[in-house]
Amino acid sequence: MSERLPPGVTPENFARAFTEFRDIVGAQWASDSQADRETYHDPFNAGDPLEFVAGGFVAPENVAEVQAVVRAAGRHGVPLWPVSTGKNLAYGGAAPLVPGTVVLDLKRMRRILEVDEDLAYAYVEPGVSFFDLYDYLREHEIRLWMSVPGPGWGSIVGNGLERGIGYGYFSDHFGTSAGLEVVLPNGELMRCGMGAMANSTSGPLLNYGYGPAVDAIFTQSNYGVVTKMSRFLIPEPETYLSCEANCFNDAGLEALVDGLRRFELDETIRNPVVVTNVALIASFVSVRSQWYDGDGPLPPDVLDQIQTQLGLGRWNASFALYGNEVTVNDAWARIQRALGAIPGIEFKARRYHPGDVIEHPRDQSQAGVPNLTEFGLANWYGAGGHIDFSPVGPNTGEHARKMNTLIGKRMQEFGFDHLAGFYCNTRVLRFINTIVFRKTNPDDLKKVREMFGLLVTDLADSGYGEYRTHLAYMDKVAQTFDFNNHAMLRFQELLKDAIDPQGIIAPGKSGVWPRSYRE
Amino acid sequence: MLDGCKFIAAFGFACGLAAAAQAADPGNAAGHAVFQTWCAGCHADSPLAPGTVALKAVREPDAVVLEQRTDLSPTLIRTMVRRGFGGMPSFRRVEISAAELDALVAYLGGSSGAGAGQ
Repeated sequence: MSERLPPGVTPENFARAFTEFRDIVGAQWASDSQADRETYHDPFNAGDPLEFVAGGFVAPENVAEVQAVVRAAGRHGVPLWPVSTGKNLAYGGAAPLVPGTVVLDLKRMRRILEVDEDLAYAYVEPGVSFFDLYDYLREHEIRLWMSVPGPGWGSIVGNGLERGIGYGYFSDHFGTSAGLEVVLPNGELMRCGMGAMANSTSGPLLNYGYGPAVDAIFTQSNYGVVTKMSRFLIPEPETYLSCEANCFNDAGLEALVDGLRRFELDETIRNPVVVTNVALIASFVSVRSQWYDGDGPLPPDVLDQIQTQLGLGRWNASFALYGNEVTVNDAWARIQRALGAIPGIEFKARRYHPGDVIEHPRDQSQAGVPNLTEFGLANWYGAGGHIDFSPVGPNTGEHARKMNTLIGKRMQEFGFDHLAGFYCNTRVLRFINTIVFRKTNPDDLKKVREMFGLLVTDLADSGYGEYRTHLAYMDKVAQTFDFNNHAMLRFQELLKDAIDPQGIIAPGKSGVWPRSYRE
Repeated sequence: MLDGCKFIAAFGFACGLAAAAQAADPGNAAGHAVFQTWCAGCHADSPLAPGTVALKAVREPDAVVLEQRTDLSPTLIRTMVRRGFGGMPSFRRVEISAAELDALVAYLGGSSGAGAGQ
């Protein structure tokens, strides 16, 4: 018996649910043992690593088992927290928000159902990672590229449902997907978009079907369990140029963001322009003690030293040009002409053709080759611990500077290094600030908790909201979306009460609580 | 963005796989497969593998690359996998099964680990 039960669930009902779970999925794939449930925690939490811990797990292998598990959970009032591969690290990993919630672990559902070479898409289950699909494409000699995020062990479906972003052409991972299949909280199976036709020819191709579109309500949400989704791919280009425009001066930030925007808007550049500060890149490939042993943020002279030794700028823009020799060369020449007058700028480019081996980690990411290099940031202070603070703003240099100043000031005040990058894409930028800390240091944990709350408020006061957040801040961020007395949150609660009146699926996800919890 | 060669020069890594002795059991195909799937992304002999970079900063040279180490006990490997450490997250049974963990222990730590892969 678990020592920790979900709120309002009796030990008897919890035990009955697990008896049914084991009957459905097999004894080895449902457990509430302490050893098993404690693997469903957030290893990088800014606090007790078991602050967010599951009451157990159940891992179905197919859709019918998911339906049966959801129905059984409903019969006994036991809440489920679905995870795909459980690698939503920096935002909570495989942990549920409410301790004692049973994690519905979909990692065993890892079938690649279809890869269509002509229409360039893959249709997959939630347990399929970016590594899995990459291996499949290579093994079958399919010359299609996907967009991958930083660490490649995440789920294609899960990352899409969290509205994650990647480095490739289709970098909006939900916006360039379709074909959602969902198990609703009552166990019923539903398909969205064109897939809502039983004999549809176009289910994985178009997320708009007929009538109100409903697929997006299953992102960052607790309205159902997504069991299938497509991802759009691109044909491998004849020529791929991985480009850098690095500015040695801090003042170059505005010029890089503004100078590159027009090339994003006219689709000369079709993947995100990522403008990263030198400290974040250093954290990918080194540890802090190699540069500096002092307390407080890295001093400017140490940043200078890192720039020199790693051949970086203070701000470093990276992006890709995909096409053929003529189009790529023309685009790169135009970009260099447009940005060439920026003081302290340096351009670099690495050129690839089909069959070339790509070794540089950023070049790999832009070519759909997953890797884990960026995960090195977790080791920056040598003791793990990181959460991301990710506000959205207009894609202009003025806003980039304002956001950087607001956040940098707080990081300075609390004594943490500011590791950050802007993911710029046409009209908006997402500013990913990786807050790395020593998870074994109680003072660090206390400071991160306080600082993160202040950051949410600081940025909200200036009109910047988060696109995604960690478990600990879901309510706080939800409260910042406050137009007309939180009309959107009230509508989301209305949907929750109608779709999942028992509150079985992921209570509290994104600040949306079932009625029983609200009361 | 990162210039790999400059990084390599700055921290004294050699490009590609080092020529150091292989302590892991190359005949253990099952354990090698688990290592390749779940561990190599961070613990390969590469300047761009985060686990290797982290260990290089704090350990002696012969304790950096996991496949070259001879001091990895079954208990240590199991604890690291199931509980994580530092920047390394833990791995669940649904990811690395008990049998796969046994194979990994045998691959990295000798044959003494078989049979206890919880």
